[in-house]
Amino acid sequence: MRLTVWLASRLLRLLLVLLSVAAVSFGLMMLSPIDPVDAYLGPQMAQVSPEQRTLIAERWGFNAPASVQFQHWLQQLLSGELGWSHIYNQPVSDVINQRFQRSFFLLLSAWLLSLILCVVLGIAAGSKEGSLLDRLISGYAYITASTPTFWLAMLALLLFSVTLGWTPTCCAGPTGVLSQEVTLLTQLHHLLLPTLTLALLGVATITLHTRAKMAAFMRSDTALHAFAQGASRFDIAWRHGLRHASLPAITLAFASLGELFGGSLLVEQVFAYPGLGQATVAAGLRSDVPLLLAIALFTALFVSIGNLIADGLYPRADPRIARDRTNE
Amino acid sequence: MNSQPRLVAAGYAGVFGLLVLLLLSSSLWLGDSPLHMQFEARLMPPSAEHWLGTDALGRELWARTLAGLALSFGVGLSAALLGTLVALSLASLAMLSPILDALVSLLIDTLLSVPHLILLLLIAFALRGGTQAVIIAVALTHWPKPCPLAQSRATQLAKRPLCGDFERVWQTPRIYCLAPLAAPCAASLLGRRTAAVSPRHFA
Repeated sequence: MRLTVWLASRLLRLLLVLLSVAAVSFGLMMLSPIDPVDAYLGPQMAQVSPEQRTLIAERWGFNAPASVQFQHWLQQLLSGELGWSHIYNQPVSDVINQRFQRSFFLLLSAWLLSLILCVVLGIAAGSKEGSLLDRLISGYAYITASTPTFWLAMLALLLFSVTLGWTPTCCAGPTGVLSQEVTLLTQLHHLLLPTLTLALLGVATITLHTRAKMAAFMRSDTALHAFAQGASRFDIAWRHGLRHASLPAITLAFASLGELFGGSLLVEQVFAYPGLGQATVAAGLRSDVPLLLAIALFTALFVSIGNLIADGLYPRADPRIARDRTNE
Repeated sequence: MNSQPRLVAAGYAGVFGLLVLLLLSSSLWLGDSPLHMQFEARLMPPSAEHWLGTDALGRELWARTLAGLALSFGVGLSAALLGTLVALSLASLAMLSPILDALVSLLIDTLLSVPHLILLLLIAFALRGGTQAVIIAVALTHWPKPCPLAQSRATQLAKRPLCGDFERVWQTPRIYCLAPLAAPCAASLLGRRTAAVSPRHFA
């Protein structure tokens, strides 16, 4: 019962947040000095008479006040109609569907890889504070924390694709081959470098937080008691410390979904990987308003659901939170 | 080894300050060398004459890098300052009444749920590029992170006897409530350096 109430309140909140995301992004689009008719016409701008332009503007309802346009857009949105993307000449829902399928695997594997790496590195570093391993891992984390994503992606591309030739230089499949004919192995081969770049850079914050939590646990009375009973450092870290250290890791891993998405924007741009990130940049540069709005809403939904999952997972990791929540 | 920690810290601060000063004044002593073209020395490898080599138009790469760095640094610094100002004022606004508090948290949730690069793109789209647009976009996208920190800090402070003695929060002498807020703000200000540099890629 309490769980249902909690879930219902969270879903209501999610709806409210999505509504304000829609309002904010729509407002920003309205502020933009770009003329949507120009953006639609593109290079054919010169062949269209002023009368035709007013006809287009009238047909699309650009003369109506902003609030009416917003209402109209929202109604369309609720009935599942996202609009037409003029740069891909496809319905926006199709573009997002195709692109997200490609990006999803990249995002998921990078996320899982960096999560595993972070927890392992953080625990290894935190369980013996000040050791050589700790200093090495912390140093690595500080270096990656201050490395821009696109720069590392460019370096990786230069080294592994151009100089060594181990990985392909671009795209989701070899050029001149239909996308249906690309084998799974080739796809994985093309994904390898973007995934690794994204994963290695996402490591820093989670590692440092896990390390700090673990180091604090190692100084606690619980750990001292376990040491007195003759448990080894590894035993204590593995049996007792893991649960303590996992809480910040869970929070940050789900909270960093937005960052991950931002990273994929840059990485997909550098590796010319045709995913959702590249579509976002293209939509921004070539003024495809419906696509840009839909992507903003979609990513907000994606990140919010991630936060919801993190909230649901806390009581599993820390029984004290479950107790507090039922007492409320 | 670290017998004089303050001396070491002062040394680091001095070196850092000197670098910043050198960077900020670089436009003065670089003159026009980032734009100066030498067609007899195009695409040169790094050497004693051309420290980092030259580009396709024979312009010195080290001068161009330094000029770009100074611009990025200026953008990052002003964006961080502006963003901190927004975060601080909204956090103090949220202290005034529960309704404002709810509104500010809704705004924060909204901005945090959109990946900041996408929000950056939206704002840059609305303002149509340029250095000023980038500064505003970075400032507006990065304030929500320290704001919850400042907000929870402010609520803690309001409960303290020092602030609690006053009937309403806004009657409290500002200095007591705002000075401790400076810590999360300063931390986020320093942490934003790389965040401010990477979006320059788009502008």
